[in-house]
Amino acid sequence: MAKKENIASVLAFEKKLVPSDGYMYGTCWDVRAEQTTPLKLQEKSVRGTISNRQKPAVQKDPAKLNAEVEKANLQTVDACSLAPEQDTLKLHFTLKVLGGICQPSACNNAAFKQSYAKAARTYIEKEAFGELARRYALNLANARYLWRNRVGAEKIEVVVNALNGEKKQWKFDATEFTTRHFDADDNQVNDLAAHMAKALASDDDFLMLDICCYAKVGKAQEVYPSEELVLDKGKGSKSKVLYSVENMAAMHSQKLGNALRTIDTWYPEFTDVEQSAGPIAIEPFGAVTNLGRAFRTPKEKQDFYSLFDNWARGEQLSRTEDEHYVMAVLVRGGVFGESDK
Amino acid sequence: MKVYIDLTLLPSDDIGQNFLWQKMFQQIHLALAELNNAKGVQPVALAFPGYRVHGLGNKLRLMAIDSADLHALDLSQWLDRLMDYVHISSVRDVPEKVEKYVCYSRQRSKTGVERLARRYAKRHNIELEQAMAHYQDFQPKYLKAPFIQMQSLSGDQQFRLFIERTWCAEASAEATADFGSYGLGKNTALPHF
Amino acid sequence: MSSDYLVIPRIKVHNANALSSPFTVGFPAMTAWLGAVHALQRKLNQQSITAEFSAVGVVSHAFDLQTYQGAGDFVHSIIGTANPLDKNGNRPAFIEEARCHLTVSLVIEISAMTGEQQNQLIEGVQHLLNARMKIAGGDILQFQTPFIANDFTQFRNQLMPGYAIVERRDLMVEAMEQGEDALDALIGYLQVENHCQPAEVDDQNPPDEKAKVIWSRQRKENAKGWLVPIATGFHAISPLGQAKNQRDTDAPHRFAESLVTLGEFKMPYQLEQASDLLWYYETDLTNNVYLCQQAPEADGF
Repeated sequence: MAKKENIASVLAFEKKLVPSDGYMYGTCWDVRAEQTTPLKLQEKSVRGTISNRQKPAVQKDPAKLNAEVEKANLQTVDACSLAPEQDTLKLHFTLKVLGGICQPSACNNAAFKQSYAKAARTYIEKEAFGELARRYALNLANARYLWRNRVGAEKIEVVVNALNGEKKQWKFDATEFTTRHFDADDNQVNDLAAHMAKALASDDDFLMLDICCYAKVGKAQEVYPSEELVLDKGKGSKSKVLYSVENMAAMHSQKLGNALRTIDTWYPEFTDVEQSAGPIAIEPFGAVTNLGRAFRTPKEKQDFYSLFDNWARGEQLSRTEDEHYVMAVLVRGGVFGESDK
Repeated sequence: MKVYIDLTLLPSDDIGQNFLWQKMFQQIHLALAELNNAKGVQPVALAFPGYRVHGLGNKLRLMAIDSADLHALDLSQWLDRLMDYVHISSVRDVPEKVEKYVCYSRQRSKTGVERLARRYAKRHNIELEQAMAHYQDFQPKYLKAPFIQMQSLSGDQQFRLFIERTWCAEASAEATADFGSYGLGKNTALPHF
Repeated sequence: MSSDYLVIPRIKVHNANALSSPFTVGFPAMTAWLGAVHALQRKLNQQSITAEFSAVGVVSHAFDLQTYQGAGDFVHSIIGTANPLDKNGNRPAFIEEARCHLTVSLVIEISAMTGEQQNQLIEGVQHLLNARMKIAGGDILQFQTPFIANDFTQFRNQLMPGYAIVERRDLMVEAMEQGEDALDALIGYLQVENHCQPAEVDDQNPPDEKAKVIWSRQRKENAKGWLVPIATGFHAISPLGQAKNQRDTDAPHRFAESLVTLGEFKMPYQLEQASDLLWYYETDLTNNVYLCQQAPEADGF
């Protein structure tokens, strides 16, 4: 149990992986490095079906249900696709990797701050961010951040350039790296990981990476920028609004960040074939939005807070994997203050 | 049916089940079409063990009498670029005792008056105007069966492949089965398990 | 005293806080800019780099507010971000946070220093902006190499094209002296009135429902220029003391409300001297006001 004088009611960490938005271009595979054109959003009309859950009153009355379901449900949506002659999507973004994890960005309890910093330093001395950086680097190499654009892509190439320090370039054939596990042992990935680990473990250093990813998805194929979350749309009938920056289709930085931190294979159900969701994004409760589930619950003491509260006050965690997870949540950043009740 | 392979979809954040059905089924359709071309008949049937009113579930089952036909499909080749999103089981034997039989068939939508009228005109050898008149009170029927969004191979036409499930009392004669490039057959009962 | 200016050109800030006060959404508050520069100074000082940043000018080159307006919508809606599910796998309540992406140049007044000190400062600033700093809650994605100059006209062109934010509290004072309530005064300068009058009305063509009308738009008489509401500081509403769970246990705490006044975006070429651009901290403890403001009489030194 935490002692009362050892509680940080204000505690926050800034994220240590800082992606930009991802800008989308169309090109052809053979000239992908030379010729690209920014992709624009298009508006199109579609006839949707009524497939959302209906009110109980409607559900119970077959006539009403039929009437609802048979409404034409015309919608306007944003869409984005390659030009007829293009077969390749280029996604371009930058990623900043920051150090200074031992320093919370806000903490109102000196004793806690000290014990936390000690725990973090011990982790860095022991692990030097090797495993986390390796997983982040693999997620750069496997192009997980393409999200739906990755599914079925015939060829995928990733070119990573370091923009500061030692000017280096890494090239990956993303189709050689699975998104289902992190067992790969590849020299290029390990080298990129070493650079990332060095920045993460530093007190206040940084690494700036420029990432160009090319995915051969097929001629004129649809591509998938991020969708905007507009809660209270006006009377406009557009049901799907996609993200664009200066007229160019784009993916949200948050979405790229989510893909990069999809490294959690340490939650209890990962190894359970029926229940597993594969690697999931690092989140305090292991939440996966699509499945509407949290895989790390306080009940099983596998959530971030259960692990962090003790670890930050000097207790050892039983598994190294739990330490990796806790540190990965801190790399993600967030507000983690405790109630003092 | 004697042997089967199960394909399990592995959805994740952003990459949902319907999207995966669409991507995977396109490849399965190609594989079946190629087998059809090679053999002149297509002996692999598709089943949907997770079939519900609102969706097809997360499993596609490919069934055949002869395991050689399943091997000939060479699924790992067709699904090569989907291996991170689809799990392919090995070829397994259908259980000997099966209580239920089921038939999966394609359901065609009757929504386009003009398309129906053209067919009617042709069948009855009348003018299109007359046929249109025949359909003047026609109420389009929207199908409620689960579907897979498909892209036609010739162009960028999109259409929905509606799949209907009917229960059958027992297995039907299997020897002559030809399931076409969608792996669906109206009159063939498959073991359900 | 002669001053030099540290110019940090074209800082690209991503997902900055655009909720500048409880009732305005738009360009981040002046407190955010002065606060960021002050934080930068403290971090430099920690690294034994002597620097005193006494005033800050902000020039906006691009401003992209994350809102959405559908066809036919009258108002814009805020584009939200999806927050992770809670421990039960449920969606947490949405908290509307207005965000913006923007590109700004900062002009910082510094005291004169030697060439070596200058190099050290520029190097330190670059490193901190890359490795340790956020601005207005947003991420710094990139910036051009900072430089030091001592003559405003020397670097004014490098702030173009862009808009410097300058204070127009004078307009508020004027309206309030005429008895207007502060909020009315603020809105009075910002509102655009649409008037319509029937066209060609005479005895032969009496106005009817279908008669053509002419629309005209107008703003308040002296509301010239690109005026915006801008949050400039805080007014204390409680005495100094200790509060439960305050963020910094060493500094006294007090509750405060935002101060909002008018600002104007002006092209830098319209400004004659650096002081037309610069904002300072001002604390008035008798009136319990913590403020960012421009020098009242900007007539040079």
